[in-house]
Amino acid sequence: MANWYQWNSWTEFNSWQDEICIELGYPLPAINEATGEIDLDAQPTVVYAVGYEVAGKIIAVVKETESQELTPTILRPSPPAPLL
Amino acid sequence: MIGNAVAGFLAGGVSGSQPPIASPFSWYDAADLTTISTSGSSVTQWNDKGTNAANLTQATGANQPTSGVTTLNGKNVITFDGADNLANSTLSKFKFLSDGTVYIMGIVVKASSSSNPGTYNMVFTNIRSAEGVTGRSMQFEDRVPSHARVYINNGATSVVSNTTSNNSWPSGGSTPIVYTELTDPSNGTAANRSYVYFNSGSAYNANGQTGSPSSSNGTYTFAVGATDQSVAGITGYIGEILIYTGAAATESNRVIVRNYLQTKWGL
Repeated sequence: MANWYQWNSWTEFNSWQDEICIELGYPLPAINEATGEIDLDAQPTVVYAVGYEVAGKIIAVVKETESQELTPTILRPSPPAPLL
Repeated sequence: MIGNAVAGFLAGGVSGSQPPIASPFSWYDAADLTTISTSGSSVTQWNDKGTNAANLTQATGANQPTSGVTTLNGKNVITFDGADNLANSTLSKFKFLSDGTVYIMGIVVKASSSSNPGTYNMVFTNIRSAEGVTGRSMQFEDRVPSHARVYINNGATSVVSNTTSNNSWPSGGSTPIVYTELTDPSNGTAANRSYVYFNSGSAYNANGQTGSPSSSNGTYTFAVGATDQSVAGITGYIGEILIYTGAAATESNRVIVRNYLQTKWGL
């Protein structure tokens, strides 16, 4: 599972992101699921999270396994679509 | 056309190695592991076997769905956790969804792990919020109980907003289904613009919107499983997405696509 978390600044977010990417060994190559071989033409895993600036906070999706000590948030990068 | 379609279905459609009708426009097939690339079990790319050749990718680890974890009828599916998406940022590749093109679509999807009132969940979309944008979404809605919504906007007004009846989505989204639709956004009769079907059930065509389709590209990146910003995601899985456009987009071919998906996925 994943959830949204917040940081007070881009500096804080980028510092956290740098640490988690090192911990997870990023970047990770793309492996074809049928052959088990690296596919250089396929998309590799490049970063852990994408940050958005909303209401003065930086928010990002983080998986439960990497979310220790992070602050959950109800902020989202786009509002819900209304029903018509 | 129909003769070829039936021949294709009998020849290879049940096994899933061949499409039920020749030359699908879009064909994402999680049972075909050659089309999936992963980092661990996290999906980085899901290739399109159709003529649109619009591969879906996800370079961000926290937003990657998983593969090789869950099966349906012994076949691999791609699992989304509510914040995962696979996307393609070439806007022109998905203009057909909202520019007046006629298309049929079949999706094998489990949209929710539990009832979650108040939420809406994007099976796929190239819009984020509904107003002032061009594009379309296919939503599992739980804001009113368990229905589907096909929504197309031309950047100013609604072209299609077809919401099925309350509780019409089987088992509140918690079981896999074959979802099919026939979409004709330019049809002069509003109710004929969007037909939605769950499994072998009857059509839902509640659209009353009459806006003209836009010839522009969709406003945002096309994404499967959630918006391209990982909002409003499904908590479930997708086995296959199959789309035909133009002359192949007929009601009889929709039934062929539905039968193919039901047989292949044991639904």
